[in-house]
Amino acid sequence: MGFYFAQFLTGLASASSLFLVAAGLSIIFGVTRIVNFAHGSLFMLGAFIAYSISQQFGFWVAVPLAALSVGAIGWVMERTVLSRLYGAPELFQLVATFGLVLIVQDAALWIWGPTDLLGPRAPGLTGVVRIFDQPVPEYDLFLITVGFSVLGAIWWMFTRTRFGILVRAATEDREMLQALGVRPARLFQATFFIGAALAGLGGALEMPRQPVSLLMDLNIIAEAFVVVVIGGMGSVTGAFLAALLIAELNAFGILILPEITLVAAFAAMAVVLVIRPYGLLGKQATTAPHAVEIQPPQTLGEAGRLAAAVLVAALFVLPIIAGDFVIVLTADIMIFALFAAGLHFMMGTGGLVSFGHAAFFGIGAYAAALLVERAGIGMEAALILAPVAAAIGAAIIGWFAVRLSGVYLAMLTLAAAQILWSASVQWQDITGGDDGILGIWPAAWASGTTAYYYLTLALTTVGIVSLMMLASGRFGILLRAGRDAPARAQALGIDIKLRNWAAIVIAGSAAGLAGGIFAFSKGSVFPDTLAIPNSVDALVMVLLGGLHAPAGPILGASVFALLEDSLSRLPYWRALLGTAVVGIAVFAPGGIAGSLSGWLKRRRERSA
Amino acid sequence: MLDVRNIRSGYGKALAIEDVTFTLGASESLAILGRNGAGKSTTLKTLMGMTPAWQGRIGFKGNDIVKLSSDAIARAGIGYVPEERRIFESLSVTENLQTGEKAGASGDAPWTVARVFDLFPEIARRSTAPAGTLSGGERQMLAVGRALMGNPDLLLLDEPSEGLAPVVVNRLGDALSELRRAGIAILISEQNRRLARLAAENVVIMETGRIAYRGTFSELDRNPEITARLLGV
Repeated sequence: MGFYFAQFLTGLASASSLFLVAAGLSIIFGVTRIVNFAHGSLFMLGAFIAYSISQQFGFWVAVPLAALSVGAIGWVMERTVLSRLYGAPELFQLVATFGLVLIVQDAALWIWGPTDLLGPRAPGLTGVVRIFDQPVPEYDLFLITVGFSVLGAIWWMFTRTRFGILVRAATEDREMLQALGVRPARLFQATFFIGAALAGLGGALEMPRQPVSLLMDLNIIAEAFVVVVIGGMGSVTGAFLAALLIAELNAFGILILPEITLVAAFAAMAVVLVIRPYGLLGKQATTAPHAVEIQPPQTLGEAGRLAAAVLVAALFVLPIIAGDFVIVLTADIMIFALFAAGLHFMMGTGGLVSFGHAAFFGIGAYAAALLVERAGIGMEAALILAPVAAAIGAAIIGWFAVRLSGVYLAMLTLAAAQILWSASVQWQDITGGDDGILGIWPAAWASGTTAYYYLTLALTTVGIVSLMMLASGRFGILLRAGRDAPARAQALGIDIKLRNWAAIVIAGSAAGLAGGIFAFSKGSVFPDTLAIPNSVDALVMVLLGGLHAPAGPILGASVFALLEDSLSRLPYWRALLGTAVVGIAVFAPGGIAGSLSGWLKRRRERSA
Repeated sequence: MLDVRNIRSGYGKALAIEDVTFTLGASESLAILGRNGAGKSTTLKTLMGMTPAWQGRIGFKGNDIVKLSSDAIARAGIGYVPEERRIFESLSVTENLQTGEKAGASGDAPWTVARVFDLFPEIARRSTAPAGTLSGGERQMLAVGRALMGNPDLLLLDEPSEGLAPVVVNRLGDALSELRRAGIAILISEQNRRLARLAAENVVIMETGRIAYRGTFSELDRNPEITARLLGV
């Protein structure tokens, strides 16, 4: 009995930091309608900054100062990047905050270095208290007190101060509030400051409990997303309940089976979403309709078809003239073009945002590797089953995802990918953990650089052409109807959820095929095929190429691979990538293809 | 006080109003009548800066407000009561009124929560209830009260009678006459002529985005053929 109570208290203590982060995320979303993917980065910065300050001034000075500093950083983020995006489509807001994650990652690496830092313990709270004869750290009790106090403080602010009343009003109807004379900019800045400071406080308070590391940002954001989805976007009390639920599930799940904790969080989210689609205390978001820019259908014109034929022909003769290095690089580009094409199909045509597309790529890669390694089947069957496995994964994740709108979808896919990644690292018996699975080589007839290149060319061409045909055909038309005018499409009897689900499964199987081909081309599979950076790469390729251009993913993958090849040797490559992502979102939302065709159009209009 | 000249506005590429011109002096009142889709709401939204004007000038107390954002326009002294009321449903009645307060308003500002409750005792009884639980009439009173909390010199009301029972419309009409006596200028868009007459002396009629008639209610009464042609009654 005493042991379980102590375990319960441990869970409560863990819930505190999670709640601080999720509450900030939720408040910011409520007011600005922006899901801040960089919120985990603010948490991480809180821990790092607190570490640095504590070296000079001690723990108790470091914690509040770190919270305030992170609040200020959040304010700067809002001023420099997000305030330029309030009118932009949701996708670009999401992507821009994602770019910030990359920038903060490298900034932290640059300032604090790659090694984990061990922070100080809290002076005065280093002992244990015996409760029911079980040792409970004093610091855990302190954290529990902080969690409840912050909940109380937020409640007080929301109900007793003018600022709080305005925040709640803005969560409901921002435009009306502005028409009453409230300056939105000030409200947004203050909200960002408070939300960021809460995340910073959460990070700073984690110092005595875990080493300060560069992994903190994505770990907490995935968990915070799960919490916010369970609790309901914009509801602070919901975030509190959900943080409690997840932390307790972790605390008790770990007693039964350590590997199950991650799955448990996801299962809890699944159950809640089925019963209450907007979370425990959430309401259906009444966002003012975004100005929808109707996009022309994604079809290749005459010139496009010709260009595609020339491209395939050129790729066909490439091995005759090029050396091994170029052949391998080109094969990689084709694999990533297929990966990106699936995402492009889902996001561009379907309007379904995935921030965890690597999940499907990784499932394909691991499925192929495990089938060859454990089941001993051949390459041919493995390449057929890889997309099937990814399609099954996509069907499961997609089943939940289609119940949710844009931002929830992005959060859910990111959380799913992060959970799969954790599983691949932790479940060593099956996946080999960080050591990966080695010795996955193609069948004899396809081995050798050139032979495998042709196999890659054939499979990726079939995959990409099929996606293009789907996008321009009847299926694509219905998907676009669901994207641009869901209410009208529904009224016409189109089952939008079913179509969207199908689109996710199709995109997932394309990624799975790409993952399978990738596994055999490298001869091995590692957890980073599932990791967030891989998802980001796909996203950047799609955006770089142009979300609404049929050739976008091919163009995007090519430019990205060439850039990566030359730039990834630079020490702070991710920050560059992040800056590019933010830049695209703010300045060139059409990507390369979009900007190019816009430029051509303007030129034609001028000469006409 | 309000000097609207040749404004033209719309949504996306679709033109909704064109060449709309009228003036309104301090403490004066004007009703905009017209059928559905005639451009009444768009006119008010354009004045409020919620739908950007493509062209034209909007002078208010001597300043051109056409380029200002809606919060600046509200702070300049225009109160807005939208067609859908748009009260904050999860906030209490009192909290809704507080959202209308201008930051930094001094203590001797004429409108307070207590004074709004004097004008609308119906909502005073519900002061702590979530606004989402109010009836249609109570919501409308709350929306008017919320706009008054900003101490406006000019009140814009967009079809306040819509969806309300006749007895509630009368009640609202009384309140609006009281506001006129208190010296607040009123610009009201309506389909309900009875309420419009209670709230305003002058009238313009809009048809397909343009002003088709301007005059007074008494002139309009003498010319039923105008009403028949432009309002279809």
